[in-house]
Amino acid sequence: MVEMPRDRWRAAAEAMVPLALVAWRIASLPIKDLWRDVLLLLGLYWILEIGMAARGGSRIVRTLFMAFMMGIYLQGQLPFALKMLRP
Amino acid sequence: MMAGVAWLIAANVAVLLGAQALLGRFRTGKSSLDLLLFLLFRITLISGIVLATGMIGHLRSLPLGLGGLISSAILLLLGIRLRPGARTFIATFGWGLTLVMVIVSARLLAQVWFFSPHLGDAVNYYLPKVAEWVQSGVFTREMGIHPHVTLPAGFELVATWWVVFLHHDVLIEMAGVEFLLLGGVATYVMARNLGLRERSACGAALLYVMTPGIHLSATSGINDVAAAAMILTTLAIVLEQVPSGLALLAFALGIGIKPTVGYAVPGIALLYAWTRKGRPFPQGSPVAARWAGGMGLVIGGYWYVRNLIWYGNPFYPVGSSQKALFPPPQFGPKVASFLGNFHDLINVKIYDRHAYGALVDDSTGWGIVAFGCGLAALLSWAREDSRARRLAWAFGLSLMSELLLIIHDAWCLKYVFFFPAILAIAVARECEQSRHLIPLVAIGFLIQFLSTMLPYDLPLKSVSGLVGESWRDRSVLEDESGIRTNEPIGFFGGIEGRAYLFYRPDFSRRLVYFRSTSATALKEEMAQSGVQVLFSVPATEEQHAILTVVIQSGFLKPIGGSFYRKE
Repeated sequence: MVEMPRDRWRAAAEAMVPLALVAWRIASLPIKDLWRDVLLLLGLYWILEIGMAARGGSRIVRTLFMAFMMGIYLQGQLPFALKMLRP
Repeated sequence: MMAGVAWLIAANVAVLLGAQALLGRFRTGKSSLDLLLFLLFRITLISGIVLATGMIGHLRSLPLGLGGLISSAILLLLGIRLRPGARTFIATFGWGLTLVMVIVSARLLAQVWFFSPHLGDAVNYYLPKVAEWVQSGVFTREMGIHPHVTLPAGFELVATWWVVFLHHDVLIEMAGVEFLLLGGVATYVMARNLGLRERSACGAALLYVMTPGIHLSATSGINDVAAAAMILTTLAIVLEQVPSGLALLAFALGIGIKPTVGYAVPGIALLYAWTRKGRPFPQGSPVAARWAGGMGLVIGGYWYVRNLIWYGNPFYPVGSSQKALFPPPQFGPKVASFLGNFHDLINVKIYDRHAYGALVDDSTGWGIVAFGCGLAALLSWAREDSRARRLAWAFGLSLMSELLLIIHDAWCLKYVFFFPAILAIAVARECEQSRHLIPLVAIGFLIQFLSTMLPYDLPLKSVSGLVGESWRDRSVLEDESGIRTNEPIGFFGGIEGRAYLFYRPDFSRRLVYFRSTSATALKEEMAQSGVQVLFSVPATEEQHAILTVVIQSGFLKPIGGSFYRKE
């Protein structure tokens, strides 16, 4: 039997939380809404973080993820903001 | 008016010197923490002075201003000095951040100057009591017709401070700005404590201050930013491990502003338990801190003692069995509220799909930076750093506790305005680690700045009208249906009738509230008071029936809108 290093066990245990989060959101939301669900996306991001931590992490991936999240926010908020500034 | 301005300046100088003198007993050696304590002492002094003079009937410009002048002279003779250091400020934060702070501050001051109280909650039940106090020069039992006028009024003490000298409400929104500043500095202190550099911590404070819901709430005349600022101040003091008497001061003042400050206790207690075994407080006396905490309890607890004496219930109207309380306040924890609030937060409100406003209708008002960058940044940081993880747990626990104890409605997330602070700190820390993120955050900040020019309930057309008016007459009240200037108005029903606006900006009009239980009683009370004009929007079927009888009897004649004139 191959023994896993202690860090990997810890990472695997931690990954249970975001996996549960992702499973909960997939089970409870319509498929068409999944792509912009904040908890699902944060769950996936968390899993990605755990995976990336083993390889030294990546700030670029974080920034790209945050840009995507900002896009989701703008998609909902921008029409209201523009309407407010209209004379 | 010039005398009022002079007294306003004299009293504010005295309070600043007084806060500096108090700080001398608690100086920590950390400039950020000292600034937080200085602002906290300033608010404590203002609250205490207005409370004391309101109770003894000297809530007027002259005694307050004269007292300020004499106190300033004594404090100056004792060697107390204020040392604002603009040069140090620029050297610490750099020209860029300083410029952003100047722009944000200048716009806030413009909003204070040009906005007029307009928000329903503010003009229905926060501010009518301020108008009654300023008119009478003493705390009055009459505070307005809305059932919520008896809720704790710690915020209104500071609002009163900004109107009593001028006998005019042009600066009333400064009260919210004071607390916004306090919340920003508390955010800065926490960021510094967690190891952020000075410029990054300043960025965190700016991000918090520019959180859309919070920013707009600060100039709306309601107390939610003040409550959030007191929670953040308490957390910052606990995190810094200064004597717990000072944390009690902030917390107790907060309870006197809004009971929802108390709902955040679980997170504060958790943080206290985690930090209490740390290093001891470097300077200052724990005994003096206990005195300060006691002072906070006196000021913050006043409203509860008053309500106990007046109504037999310290939390009145919360927990009252009276009907027609609008909206029915929640008393104690409710699982259904928690589930509803949590569901709405994660599924609907966090996306802010609503125009920004002070009440954060069906939204959080946390903004694009907190949503886009803050949540992920906090997650990453909490994974890496145990101190950040602890603070995140404290904030999270307080958030959950609030969701359990607050009513489930469209506006309830204004009670958790403290939460975006941890997201702002996380974003600033992530920017410190990754330069790639800074342009993204800068764009988000700019979007938030531009989209918080106006709240949705004060649209451009209304603001243009306000800007065009003389500051002396600036008001959102449009239709007074032929009522003469300063003619007294009676109020019957009309709990959502925006009573505050009828006092006029200079508090020159008298309002008389009728709580009559029959048509005959209403006629008699109107005759006794000498009031010729009645404003009435019946709040109950009984009031509707009374008004109908009085009109049919020919005693009152409709003159337009909800106004009636005595025949």
